[in-house]
Amino acid sequence: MKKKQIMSVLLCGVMAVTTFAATGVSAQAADKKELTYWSMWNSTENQAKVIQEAADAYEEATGIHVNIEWKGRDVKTMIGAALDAGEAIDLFDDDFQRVVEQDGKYLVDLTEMAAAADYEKHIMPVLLDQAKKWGDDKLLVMPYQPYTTGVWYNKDLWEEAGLTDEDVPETWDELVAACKKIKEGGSGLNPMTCDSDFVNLLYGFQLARYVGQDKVMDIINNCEWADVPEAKKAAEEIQSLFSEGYMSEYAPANGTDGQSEIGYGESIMVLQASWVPNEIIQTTGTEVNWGFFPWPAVEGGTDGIEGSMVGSQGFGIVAKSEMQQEAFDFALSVCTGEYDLKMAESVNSIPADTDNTQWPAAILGAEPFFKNVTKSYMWAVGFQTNADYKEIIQEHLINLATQKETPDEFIEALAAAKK
Amino acid sequence: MIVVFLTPAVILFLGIFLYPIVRTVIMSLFNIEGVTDPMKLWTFVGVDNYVKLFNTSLFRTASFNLFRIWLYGGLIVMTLSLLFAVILTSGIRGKKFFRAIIYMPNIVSAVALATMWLQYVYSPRFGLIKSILETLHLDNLAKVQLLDNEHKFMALVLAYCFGMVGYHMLIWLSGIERISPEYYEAATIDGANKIAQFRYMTMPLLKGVFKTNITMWSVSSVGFFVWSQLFSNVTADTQTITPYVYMYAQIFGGGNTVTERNSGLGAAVGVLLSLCVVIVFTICNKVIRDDDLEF
Repeated sequence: MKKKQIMSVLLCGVMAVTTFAATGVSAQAADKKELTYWSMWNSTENQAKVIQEAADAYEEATGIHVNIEWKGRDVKTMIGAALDAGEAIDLFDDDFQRVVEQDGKYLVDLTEMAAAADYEKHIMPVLLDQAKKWGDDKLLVMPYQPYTTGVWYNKDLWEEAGLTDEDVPETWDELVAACKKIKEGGSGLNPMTCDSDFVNLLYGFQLARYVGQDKVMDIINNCEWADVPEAKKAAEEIQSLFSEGYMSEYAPANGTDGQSEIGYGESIMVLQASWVPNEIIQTTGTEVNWGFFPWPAVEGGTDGIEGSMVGSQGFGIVAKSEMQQEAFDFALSVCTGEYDLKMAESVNSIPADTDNTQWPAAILGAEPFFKNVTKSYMWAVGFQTNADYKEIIQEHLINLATQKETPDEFIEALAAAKK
Repeated sequence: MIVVFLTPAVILFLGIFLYPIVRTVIMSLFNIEGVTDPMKLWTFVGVDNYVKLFNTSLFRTASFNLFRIWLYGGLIVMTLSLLFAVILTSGIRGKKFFRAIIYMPNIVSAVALATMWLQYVYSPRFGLIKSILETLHLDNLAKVQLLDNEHKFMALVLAYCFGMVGYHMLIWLSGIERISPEYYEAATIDGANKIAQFRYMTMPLLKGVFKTNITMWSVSSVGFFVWSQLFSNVTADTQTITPYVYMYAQIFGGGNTVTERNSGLGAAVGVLLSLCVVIVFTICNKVIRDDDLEF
């Protein structure tokens, strides 16, 4: 009996000590500052690893813990609802256009904080202009991991097919000539390849070269396909890449099968964004010796190689956050300096900070052209902006590529389609 | 006392079922940019969202796709699942094994299943179908791209049906096993063969189960989303889009770019889809009467 009593007293003592200690810990935890960041990455992605490293370094330097919730790409569907529901989020990231245009109402204007940190000079002008244009002159987003778009080619296969640096095309005619040379060279390699979701890049670039981005949007919004002769001309030219056998027999391929042909050593060129070298390494395990050239200029076109689809990911700082400055400082550490460079190296992306001039070798070929991009195109030059129309455009583009529709039928079908 | 017991259930029912339904119907009459926008930001548009839907060719395409999935897929799934159920209840050996095998696709994630179909079965490079056709020296058929615009829809329906047969087979099985074996014994003694037994005994006694199966199939078809997303990568296309995908794009935006959003339009799609299920259920109840037999 006495034993039991002693045991009870001891246990009560242990409980009291544990409770006291726990209270102490939680009080200590409550004192510790914490940022909550909803990320567009999954924790296993290389981008996530760099961001986690930056967060650890930030905590070590400031004592502020960054609580990162790896939401993946679904962050775009969740963030608005979460913020409306009062979720305590200090910052999040997503496509930088979506951050401004779709979620801008939740965000704080960073202009003053950026001025204090002299941040704007670190942002690429083409991205800064876009961000401010969408944000009505306010700076609502901090861009990182920018991309550009153009033709990526396997240099080794290029040489194997008998081509040299002098064959790298600057005009449409030169591109066709290069394709012809590869096809007739007897190497058995496909000059080009593409995936079905990105046929819109081929036709989009060609049309934008003729008429420019604004006119493309007019054509889409007002169904002016039949009134603009260049729309048909661009369709004829893009279809000729397929009908002349310059494209892989599997193009337009499903998923990313087309672009993987470059890694498998079957095709030489693909029109894609600058994330493609990284994707091809991930998919095929092949380190490709990459070359790059912008989509070529066309005769009598409005735009030349100074126009490209550029964009980036971006951080937004929530206006309701009580730690806006801290969130800005953390995001700044990812968008500039050491971690921006680490990000670029780990995923073969373009460094966001203008001070970071060393591009990864895989995308180095795009550097001289990227610096001269003065006209920024929307993704797929805006073919995906109308939710009621984009699938219809896509269907007819595939039909054009697979030659199930003639260019005339293609134009007729798009002109007839009601938005 | 009754009130005390009922109150929690009634409150939960009102909060979890009735409130979202009423709110969705009300939302469908407004133009709403963000799905969680406060009501002060809503703009009343009356039935304009419904009018717009009926006038949008893409929504009509999506609805037609859904109808085709429901009809073609329904015929395939109901026929195969009933056939398997009848075979499994006919006294074959290894019934449990085959039942598990046929049901197995249901416990595998749709993402994994779709990847298998896309990468292994339909692949134009090394797909199973291509290999079989080449082995049979049907080279022209082997060259057919099963995932192009012309064939993508049927490829999608077949893959979806593969994943659904097991579930509906179990429902048929439960119905068939409910029928007493004594009836079949009596019929056998009277000289009825297996086909006659199926035609004149099993089928009439499965009317209630048939109704359940049609309703369950309609409910799952209306929510056709994941398979559609998986068979189209960045954006849906006219062969894979369904009203659910269209609704998702209207509420959350779609593709790689920023698109105009209208959650009111999305709510209108939801209301129309619910009405479809109610109509199918009502027609089933009227046409298939299972209260004329007792067993």
